[in-house]
Amino acid sequence: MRALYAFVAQGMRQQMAYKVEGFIGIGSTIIWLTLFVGIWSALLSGDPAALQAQLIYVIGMRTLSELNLVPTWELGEKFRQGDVALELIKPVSLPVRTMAGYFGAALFRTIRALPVFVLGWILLRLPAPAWDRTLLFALSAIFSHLITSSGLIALSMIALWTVQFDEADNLWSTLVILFSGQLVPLHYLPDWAANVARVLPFSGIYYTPSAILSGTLQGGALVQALALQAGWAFILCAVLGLMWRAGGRKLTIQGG
Amino acid sequence: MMHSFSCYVRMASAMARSQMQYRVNFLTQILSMVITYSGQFIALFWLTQRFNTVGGWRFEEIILLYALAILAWGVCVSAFFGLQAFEDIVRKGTFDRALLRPMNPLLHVLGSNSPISGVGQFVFSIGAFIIAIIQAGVPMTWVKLVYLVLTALGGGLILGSAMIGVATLTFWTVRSYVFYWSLVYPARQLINYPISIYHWGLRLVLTFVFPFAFVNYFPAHVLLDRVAELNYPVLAWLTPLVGVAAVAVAYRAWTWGARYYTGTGS
Repeated sequence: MRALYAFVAQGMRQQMAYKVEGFIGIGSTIIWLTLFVGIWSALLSGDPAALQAQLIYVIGMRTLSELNLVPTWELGEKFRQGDVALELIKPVSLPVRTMAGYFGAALFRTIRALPVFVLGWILLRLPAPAWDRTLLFALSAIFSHLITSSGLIALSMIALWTVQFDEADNLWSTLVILFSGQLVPLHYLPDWAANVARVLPFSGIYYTPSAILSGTLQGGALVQALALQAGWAFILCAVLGLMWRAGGRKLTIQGG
Repeated sequence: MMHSFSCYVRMASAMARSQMQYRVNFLTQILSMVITYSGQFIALFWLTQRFNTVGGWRFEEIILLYALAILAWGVCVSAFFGLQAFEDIVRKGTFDRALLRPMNPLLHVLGSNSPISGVGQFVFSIGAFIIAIIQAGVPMTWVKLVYLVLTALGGGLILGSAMIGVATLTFWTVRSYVFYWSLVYPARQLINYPISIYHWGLRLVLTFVFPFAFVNYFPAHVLLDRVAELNYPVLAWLTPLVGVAAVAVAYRAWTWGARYYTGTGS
């Protein structure tokens, strides 16, 4: 546990060190928020109640995308260059260490972007968020991060077998575009697509937490969605663990 | 300058030949690109199924906007996308080499970019464009077809000048990836939708400061016979000119920035 905490803290400190990136990151947050507020204000201009819920959803979704930026391309480099050999002799396994580090970095980025979201919330004249929904959002956001981080690291592990994982990565982003609720929330999808999306892990990345925050998910549906999300987070972490063990045996270092 | 261009053409075609050597890799990359853009295409389809129009633009019109944006992006990827990695060149000091060669340093850097890396974008965007035009039921004329090609080139230059801007900032910050992914990439997503849905301030910025609206929004009015709807119809025809002007400005900034380049080591 102590080791885990140390890796999270290290991830945060690392992210803090990039000052230029910090300022640019805030610009990026503003552009993305403007984009989604623009789209939904145009689409729902005739329905103020739905627009309000959707704008809260958008702020939730953008917060999550700060939290879900996972730089697995760095891992890919490690595999390609053979640095991964050193990983095998370290006492804490690569997936655990990487996930803790990513979580720290993501947490710092999210906190850094928070003032933009708060300001956006005020400028859009949205009602103050209910504390219970906000807490559930925070809990669900952690599951969301776990799904992305374990899922993407597991995909990058494919490189242990093939030394190439960009295509798998692109496929994951495509499924995210379609089924996560990032662009189109599940309740605005065609029925069949919404039913498919509901059971896939991707809806846990953006839809579940954001719809909890906006109040669209309530009661039994909320509990069900949250349980499913937690289940997927657990399954993907388990898959990652298994892949690392199998991959470690299979590993060939170029030139070794 | 002509000499530099002919050097560039030789370098770039060598890059293209080398990329073609990895045939399976090349084909999967194209396929992967087409799948990625098709995902966005389907998402836009669902969105317009539910809401009919986005800011008064129907599905096929939105798809036309999207196709134009990806077409221009294909041009930019083929010629300029290598600049995304410019920080590696600056950090390692290999830009020294470009400065010492008897050709234009920018063209030297661009020469290591494979000119066929935008094929996936072309395959997708031409397909999407044909679907959009058939669905919209607007007649295609020779004038429009010629303007489409000029628009793709002009739009590619506009996006390319943003990449040159990214590379220029690298001289001071030794960062290029982050400028692309945090600023240019999201700004590119803004123009996937008609810019009329945004705040007027942002519309002005996208027209006069970072003229991304000329990549697809304004020229789309020509292709869809909607020129009369613009307050200033002439804007619809300006894309090629704006492209040339944007690159000229970006190139001035780049030559100025290059003076601040310091090599690594002694």
